[in-house]
Amino acid sequence: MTGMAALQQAGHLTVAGASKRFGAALVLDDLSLAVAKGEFVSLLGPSGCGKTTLLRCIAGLLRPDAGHISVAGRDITTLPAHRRNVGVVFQNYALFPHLTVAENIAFGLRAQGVSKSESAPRVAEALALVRMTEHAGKPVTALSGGQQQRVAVARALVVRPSLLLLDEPFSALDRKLRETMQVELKHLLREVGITAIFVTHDQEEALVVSDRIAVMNAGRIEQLADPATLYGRPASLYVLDFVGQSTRLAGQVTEAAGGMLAVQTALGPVRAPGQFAPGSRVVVAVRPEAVVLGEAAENRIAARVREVSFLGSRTQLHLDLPEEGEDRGVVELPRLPEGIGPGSAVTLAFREADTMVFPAP
Amino acid sequence: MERLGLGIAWTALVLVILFLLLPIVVVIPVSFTEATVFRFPPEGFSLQWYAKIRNVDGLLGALWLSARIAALATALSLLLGTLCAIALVRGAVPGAAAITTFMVSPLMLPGLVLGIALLQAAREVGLRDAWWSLLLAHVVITMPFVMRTVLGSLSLFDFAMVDAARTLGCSYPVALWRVLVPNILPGFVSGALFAFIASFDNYPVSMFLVDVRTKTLPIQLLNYLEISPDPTLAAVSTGLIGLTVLVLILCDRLVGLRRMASI
Ligand SMILES: Nc1ncnc2c1ncn2[C@@H]1O[C@H](COP(=O)(O)OP(=O)(O)OP(=O)(O)O)[C@@H](O)[C@H]1O
Ligand SMILES: [Mg+2]
Repeated sequence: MTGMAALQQAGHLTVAGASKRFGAALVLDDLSLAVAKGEFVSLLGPSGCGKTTLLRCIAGLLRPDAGHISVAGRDITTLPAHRRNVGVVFQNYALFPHLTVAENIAFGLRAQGVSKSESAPRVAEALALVRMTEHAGKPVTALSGGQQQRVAVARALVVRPSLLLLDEPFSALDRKLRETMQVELKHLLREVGITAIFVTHDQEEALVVSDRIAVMNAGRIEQLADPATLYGRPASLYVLDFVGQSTRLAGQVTEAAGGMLAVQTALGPVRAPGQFAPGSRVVVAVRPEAVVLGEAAENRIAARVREVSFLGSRTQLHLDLPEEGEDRGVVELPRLPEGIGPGSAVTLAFREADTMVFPAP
Repeated sequence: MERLGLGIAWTALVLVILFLLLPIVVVIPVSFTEATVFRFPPEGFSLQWYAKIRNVDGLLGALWLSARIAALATALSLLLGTLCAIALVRGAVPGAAAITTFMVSPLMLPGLVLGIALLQAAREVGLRDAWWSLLLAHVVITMPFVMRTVLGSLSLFDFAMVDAARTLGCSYPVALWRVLVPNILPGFVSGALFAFIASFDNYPVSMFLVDVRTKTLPIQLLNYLEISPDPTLAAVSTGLIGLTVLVLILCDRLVGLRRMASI
């Protein structure tokens, strides 16, 4: 129980050792998480890794088989959903089609017995907050996707929840609108000063909206860190692959001394900081933008370009790698030098300090 | 060829509509006849057969009994049927598909068989009271109609709304009441309508359960027809048609017939 106490100290929301089984499937596997007051945390992971399940446990819509959940120092593990005061924005918003925009927003206030005279100004305030005042009398079925999302957010916020959970709030919006709404929602929630957890399986979205990102894998959190750390110092190959792209090469440690490793890869020797015994099978990796053409850094490899993708502000080179399998090569350049195209032979350089080493899977 | 085919289909449609409507249309003028026999076209105009309804022994009583049984059976079916439907849709009931089929098929047994079986069962458990046996039997009759429409509405209902209501401060039963019920109201209304009618004009099941003092309207009407086949029956039928039209208009106002028909 001391672990629980320590976690509680650390966070506004704490999940300690939560497990949940559906039949034979272990969907949450002894998962722990602490979120500070006012913080935005994303739960990022592939479909089926348990993100929604974790959210439903926190909201009280599901009871975990084991573990504890507490908010603001109070254990709420066994508290029913309607007494938790945890706001939820559902994936398809789950607005009430039989009610107008204003009635949807007033729903929670009415359910909690707030008087008409007190609820009217609060609904008006919430409508103004999400810029929906002029649509107050419309049925929610007459709204666009972005407007529906705003109503869902206002409906959840108007009851002043201690925590806001958002399950893929942008997945129903088209790409352009999604990018606008991500920034808008982040700004709005910051203004309100609420603690929020976003669920997403889109890594770019996670990077945009969150202070910290929890990368989930099969019911566990692989790494919980701020976006820069997650990207720059991924804790595992899984996180490396899930967040951003990389050039990664399988290899074997040939030398280990003073925290530096020499690794033999299919494209030649590479040096990187790390702690592995000589002979270990490892994977070395480097982020695309840490690679330059030429010889301007310690590590150099020769490769052949397979494909070039122009992305507007930058250009990606996909390298031809000699071995089939786990190896992959993505390099990003601010602009493509003359004479380089599919089939070109190039020399790539990257700094030892930017090179990461992971145990081979 | 296509025009010919369509022409045949059109003709069929017109004929079938006539065939469906004619008996209903014929009964209305006959109810206003001056003649003492049930004959079309009617002769003259009088309201005597309407006046006579009150004087026929047991007719109004039977009407009242049928109305009460149908209303109570429908209400019970709505409550129980909705709970069963929620369990089937959400409760991970083993064999839910088979149970659903069973509960939705309107009276897979012929009414006769059901009537005899219910009579036997009532006897076995010592239920001798005709009123109670009729009510229970009519719950059995109405349940499939309610189940069918309620299950139909539930399959279109997004239960995330119930979750949303819960996170906003409603307990589970309150969330069902405030979110589920208003959203499946069309299903309720059309289910209730079908159920009420099925109960109201049921003959084969009720036949086994009535006694001398407790007779439902269809049974009383048929008895009367055997004794004196005069246009009183047309008057009663016309009254029922009027009532049905009234109810349909009310339903239309309440939820819209289109919404009901689509379920
Ligand atoms: N009520 C349930 N009964 C049985 N299995 C369930 C239930 N809810 C979820 N699961 C299973 O648990 C696993 C995790 O589900 P969950 O919805 O938490 O995933 P997710 O990470 O939110 O995925 P997605 O990105 O697709 O929404 C899935 O394999 C799912 O099939
Ligand atoms: Mg999900």
